[in-house]
Amino acid sequence: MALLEIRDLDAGYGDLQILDGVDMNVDSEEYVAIVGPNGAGKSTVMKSVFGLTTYMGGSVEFDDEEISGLGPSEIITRGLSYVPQSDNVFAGLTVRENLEMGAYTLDGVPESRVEAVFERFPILEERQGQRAGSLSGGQQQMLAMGRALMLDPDLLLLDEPSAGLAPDLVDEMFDRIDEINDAGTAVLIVEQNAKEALRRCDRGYVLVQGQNRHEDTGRALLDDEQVRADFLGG
Amino acid sequence: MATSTETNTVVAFVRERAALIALGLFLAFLVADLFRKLGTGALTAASLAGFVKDGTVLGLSLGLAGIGLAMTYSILNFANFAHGDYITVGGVVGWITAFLVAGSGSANVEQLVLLRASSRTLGISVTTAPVAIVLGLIVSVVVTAGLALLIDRLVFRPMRGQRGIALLIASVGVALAVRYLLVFVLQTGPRGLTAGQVTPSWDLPVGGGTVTVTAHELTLAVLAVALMLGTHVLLRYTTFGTAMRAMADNEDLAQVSGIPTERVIRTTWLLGAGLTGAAGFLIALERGALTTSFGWQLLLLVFAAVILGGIGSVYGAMVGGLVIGLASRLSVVWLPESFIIAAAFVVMIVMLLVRPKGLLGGVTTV
Repeated sequence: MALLEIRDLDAGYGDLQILDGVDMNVDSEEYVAIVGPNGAGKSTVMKSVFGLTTYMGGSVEFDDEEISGLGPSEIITRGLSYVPQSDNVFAGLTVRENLEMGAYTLDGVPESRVEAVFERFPILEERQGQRAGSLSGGQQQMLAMGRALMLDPDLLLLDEPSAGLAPDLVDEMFDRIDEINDAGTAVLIVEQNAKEALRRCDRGYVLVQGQNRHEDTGRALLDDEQVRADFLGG
Repeated sequence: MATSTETNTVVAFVRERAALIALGLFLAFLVADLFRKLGTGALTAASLAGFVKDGTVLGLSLGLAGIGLAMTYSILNFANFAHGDYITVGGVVGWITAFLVAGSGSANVEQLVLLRASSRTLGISVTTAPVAIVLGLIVSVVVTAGLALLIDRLVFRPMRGQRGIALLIASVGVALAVRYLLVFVLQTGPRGLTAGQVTPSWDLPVGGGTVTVTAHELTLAVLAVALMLGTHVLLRYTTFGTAMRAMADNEDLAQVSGIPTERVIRTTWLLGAGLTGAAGFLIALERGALTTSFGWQLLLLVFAAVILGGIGSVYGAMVGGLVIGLASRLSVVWLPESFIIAAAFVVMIVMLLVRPKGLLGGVTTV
């Protein structure tokens, strides 16, 4: 049964419509990638799920409940977390404070969650008293994920987690995402690094000009002549 | 020539830091001249200590008054020109309260409410009417915070998300409306508040002379420092304070982290304006008088302090306030007294040339 179900979603910014009848779903513990050319509306899908765009029609259900029209602070309490593409840490706050902000909706920060995040990203424990702005790009990305994992979400939305990372860090980032997914958290990822994302995910969607173009397992999409011709570059 | 590269390095160093070096030389000259003046007796240690005391008192006033301005700037991204009039409101409502408490029974209520009763007859000071002062302080905090929330609801909230310049212009309108509402009720003209003859003061011996510290200067200094420390504890050690810093840092991320941004904004107004009201009340206490435009007149210096500290930085406002206060009062050593304000701004401009982001700008938000 679908954890997240997007049906016929129209959304955009102000008067500008970006998404045109998008259908997508993510099952519990599934790993789903959204790929597509620049400007296809990939990030807009995530922002729309999180209530950050102008809703224009269709439905977004999470755990069988309609969430379109809710604000981020309500959505986050239902088991969804979102890691934006850029500016995804509070640069002036310490690493620990960043994590605490991830659990703001709870009364008090459960130390067990902080420990769980430190266990997943040991570098964050070492750096917990440092300002997030002083971390390297890769460490900041781990902190951003750590913050999003503070509420132990059922579904994690990741917007271009490999953007701006050095090539050797990209692989490590994908390994971390695999680990998070293996631990039982469903993942919906938008990636510029489409081949790697499709290699790793269970299922993928190819989005073009705000519409679904292809949908299949990651492997099948990688092998699909049409998809390769359209945008994977042969 | 083995030394030519070294010479070039030195030349490059001097060129890059010409302004800084000139500034350093000028400061060294001032310090040397200060010692010369002290040595020749042109300036006594006691009068120098007096300038430092006056500068510290002014600096703490500006710092306390600046916290609210820095807070709203960092959270809402606009320079609130109504801030000066919030200072006035704090002073006015707090002192009306103090007058009513101290003068109940002995003077006509209308005279008390309009702050027209004679301050000499009322005889208010921290020692003769402590209850009136404490209640006045509480009312100044509560009413100013309430007013700021009301104005946010009526004016600024409908404009949320607009550019800083639109909000700034709206705040100028709010400033004028608040100020002339006060003028409408109170009329213009200075009002005496405290009674100097019953205010305790101490003459501290300094190098052969004395420096006089009044109980009201001491009250302002102690409470200003206490409120600044309280602000520091709130911002650093509470979850809500961390959320305020988070929002100042990155509002979009705060939103997707589930931080209730509207509530943070409301609380920022409450805290910032509450501190501003307290500043207005305490500054009027220390000066012993107020007018319906004293906050507005102070606003320029408060802005100077906040900009110097790094606009949007609460700690910067505190440090900037002290620098502006001390610089303006110490300028009297070299300049005629009418140049006090000009000196404060010259210091601000020079320091911003050296550190364009302000003393603490870019180091710490909120």
